[in-house]
Amino acid sequence: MSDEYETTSTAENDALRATYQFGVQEPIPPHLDDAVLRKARADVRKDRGFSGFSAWRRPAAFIATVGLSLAIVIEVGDLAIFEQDPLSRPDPQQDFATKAAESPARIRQIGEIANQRALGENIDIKQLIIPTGGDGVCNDAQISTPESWLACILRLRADGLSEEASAEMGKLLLAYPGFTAAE
Amino acid sequence: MAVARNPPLDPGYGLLSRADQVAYPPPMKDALRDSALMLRYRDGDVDAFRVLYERHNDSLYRYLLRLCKHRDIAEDLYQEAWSKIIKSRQRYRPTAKFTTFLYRVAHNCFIDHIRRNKRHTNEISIDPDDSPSTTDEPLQVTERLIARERLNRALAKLPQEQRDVVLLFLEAGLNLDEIASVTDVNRETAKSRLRYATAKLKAALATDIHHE
Repeated sequence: MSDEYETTSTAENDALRATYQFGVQEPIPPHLDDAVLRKARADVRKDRGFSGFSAWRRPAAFIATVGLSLAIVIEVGDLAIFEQDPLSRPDPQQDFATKAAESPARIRQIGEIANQRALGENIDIKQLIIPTGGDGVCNDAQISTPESWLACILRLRADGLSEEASAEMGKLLLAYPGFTAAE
Repeated sequence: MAVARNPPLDPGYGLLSRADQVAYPPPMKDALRDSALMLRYRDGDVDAFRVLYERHNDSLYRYLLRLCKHRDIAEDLYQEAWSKIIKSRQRYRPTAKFTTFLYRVAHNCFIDHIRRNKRHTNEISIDPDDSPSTTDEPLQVTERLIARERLNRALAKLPQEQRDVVLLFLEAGLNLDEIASVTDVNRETAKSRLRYATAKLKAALATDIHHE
């Protein structure tokens, strides 16, 4: 079956269309044309404005990313150098001596010994190393001999002062290296 | 310049003896295709849009005017339709004829308008355009005014769906498949509506001729 609407050029339909076109003559109001064309221009301008903004925004974002990355890399590099420097690491063996040296009382004592040396007095070297007096937990009488010092240490342990006992033991071993047998 | 788009034909209604004065532009055979113009506009060429717009502005306006039968509403819908076309340019893909795309947008604007305003009146509110071209002879002007009144009456009598398809057929020059696509119905439904509409239109015009 033929379809008279399949194409737009059958004679009947062409005649109807021609009549329709002949009769219809409504002109489009000019203000509509102006409004539509103005909108078309404005939208394109808006797009261009946006793309202009994008044009500098992308490089700016790239530069900012690179800058931040560099800053992070430099920071991390500094940390790595610090970690790799063996001199900057605290030495556990020197910790005790450092702490002892930092003690104000010890500094005072060293000053006194230096004065006595200057006066020609004979100073026991142990006095430079072993903290004495009120600075340590064990008093001078207790640290006068290794046995009494050890007795003081054992008493500290018995009293539950294990940290102080360990510290005193460290001092004892430093002052009397041969006392390990007694231990 | 007013030149006939189709070859002069005499349908028997006695109105086309001077078909060379039909106010329709000639086809732009050598010009860029609509879809190419739309793509150029998408890329920022406003002049391309102007050419595209001037190809379709009159027929789209008349389509909406005849469809909704109210000049103010037609103008609003017309602007709305073009606004949607403008906004959708970035998403535009030339998969179908631009005309189909354009009239589908306009048709949807009209359907949305009906849904928004359930009480869509059927009264004709198209002010007669009594400002004929200065070059027209008085007899021609009279003939055109008579023809337009006949057409207004005949179209107004059609149900909305039939008026829609016949306007897409006569005004936009769409074929059956394109009409079905624009109105979102199947081909047979579109064909049925178009057949009823054209039959009524022909009958009404012929009847009017006999009455005058």
